Amino acid sequence: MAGLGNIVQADWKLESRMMGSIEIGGSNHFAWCFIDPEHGGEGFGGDRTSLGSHLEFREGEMCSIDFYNRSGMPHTIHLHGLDVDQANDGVPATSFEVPGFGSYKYVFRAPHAGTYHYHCHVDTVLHYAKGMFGTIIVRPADGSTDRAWDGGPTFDEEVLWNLATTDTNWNDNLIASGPETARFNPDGFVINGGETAAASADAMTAIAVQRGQKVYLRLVQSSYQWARVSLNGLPFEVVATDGRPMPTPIQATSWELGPGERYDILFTPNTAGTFRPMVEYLDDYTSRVIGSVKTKLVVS
Amino acid sequence: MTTIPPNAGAISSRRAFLGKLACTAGIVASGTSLLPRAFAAQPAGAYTLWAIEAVETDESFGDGSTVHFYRFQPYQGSAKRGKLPYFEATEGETVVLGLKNSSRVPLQPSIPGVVVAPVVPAGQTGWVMFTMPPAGSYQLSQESYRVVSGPCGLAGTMVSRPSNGLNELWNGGPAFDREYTLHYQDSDSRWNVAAANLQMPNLSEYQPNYFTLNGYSYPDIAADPDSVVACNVGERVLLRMSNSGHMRQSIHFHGYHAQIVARNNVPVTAMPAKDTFEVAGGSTVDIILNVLQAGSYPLHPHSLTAVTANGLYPYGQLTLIVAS
Repeated sequence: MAGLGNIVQADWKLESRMMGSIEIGGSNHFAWCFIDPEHGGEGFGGDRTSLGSHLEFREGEMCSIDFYNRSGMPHTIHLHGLDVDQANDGVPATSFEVPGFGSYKYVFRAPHAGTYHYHCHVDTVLHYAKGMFGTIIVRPADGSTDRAWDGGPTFDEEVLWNLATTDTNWNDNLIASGPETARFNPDGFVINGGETAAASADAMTAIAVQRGQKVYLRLVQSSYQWARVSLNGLPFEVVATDGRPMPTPIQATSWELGPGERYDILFTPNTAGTFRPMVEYLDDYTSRVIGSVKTKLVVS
Repeated sequence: MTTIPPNAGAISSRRAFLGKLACTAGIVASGTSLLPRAFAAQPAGAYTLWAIEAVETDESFGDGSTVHFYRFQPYQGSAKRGKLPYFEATEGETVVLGLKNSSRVPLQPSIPGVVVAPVVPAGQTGWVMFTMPPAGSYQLSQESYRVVSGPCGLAGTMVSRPSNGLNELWNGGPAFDREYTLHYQDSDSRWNVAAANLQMPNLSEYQPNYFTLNGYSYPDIAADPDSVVACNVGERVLLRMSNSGHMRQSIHFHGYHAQIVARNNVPVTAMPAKDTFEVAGGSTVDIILNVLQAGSYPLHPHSLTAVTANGLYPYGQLTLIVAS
């Protein structure tokens, strides 16, 4: 299950870290991130220093995230898509910010099984771009990890792809928004924090299944560009978006996601071979592809 | 649709930009008389008048900068939402859209998919008569060189009401208790500088750095009652979103999932309730928000450069849903 479904619980801890890094073009660049200090101590899957840890809750439970801000600047956690109340929305203008070395326990009820997002909402244009985001998965009320929602599709393999772009000039040089954040010129195009070589070798990103197995792929769009996802021509079904089931699944061979959107797709490869799924990032104005990242799908 | 026959007025082609615009249509201005006196003398029959004026303005933003815009604005009592012109009438009704062009460039107002007015030279007035289209949400645009005119500010909203007179998006369509129009625009200030100098910008390069909603940038948005979504728990609120910029926006709701019901006035049934919606440049999107909890919640694009003024956060296209 590529690291998903191992821990489903109501109460989590997160810490901010300003000492992360992301490898773009063969060089390491500064990144900011959230980490889970209890399970592995680092980011997504406990094995990296960019891309925040993923958190898993059960539908209907009262949940909490005990956030400790391990930095000198304010941060928050916005629970993107969970429709929490104003006090727990994590927006400085309408709730509050967590000061440097402060803490706050965000409390909410997980509304519907599905894929959600969280991120810092302080000076968001920069903090988000520098990597302060992660994924929340809400499991069905019974906690099952092989079914998308109560009455929804089952699956044999589950994978999470967090889609993002990076402007390494922002990562390396900026600590606050201003004229230098007026234009975002990405030079890094990643899945789960990795460019093509890393994404193809990463056990959390690359997919290995047997023919006939059903794969549930959760897509979280964390970039500032639109992203087009394809599976090397393999057909798939779009079954859910933003934590809600589609009224009728949509058959597709590629799908475009806007910034902040989540889509869950389901596919069953029936042909053995090695495929190269791809995410292409699109220019807002011209829709041309400005960068892409590939990973690997091995069907045995 | 009836259009004014061309007259013999001459157009000044001071620069290539103006020349290109002037060549796209006949010259049909009604002279320099002020509206609505000019209208009263010309269109025949019964109609509802929607009068707008094109002006040039220098607008201030939160980063301290001033950006030059061309704007349509309400004229002599016409309605507005935010600072942009707004018009509503019932489907099938006869309407005259009149323009007093107080800018330095010829302009050609349009309702994409509905009507294109003749070119109105700088300093003159003109009008076009049309029939209100099927009920829905429409943009006021500027036809000739729309690629430039949208980002440079020329836009507004038109709402066609259903003939049954009910608070429905169309006859028998989604019902609502209250409604808002939210019009998104993005501007690359390099284009605005070129337009201010009556020159064509570099069309191959567009990276917007100023962003407005109903003509305002946050926090001015928060002070505009047309642009803050004020509502009560239990209500169904219709949000008529439109985008005359070039950014393919992805608008995120805090606090709520909402239901898209139409895109470009085509009903949408394929999507569940979502918290993030595409509002592409040139499009209209109608969304029903069921207000399920009280509080103040941001509503903003998730391409977060659009929540800045030349990079400075938080400005741009940030508004609030305030539910009591």
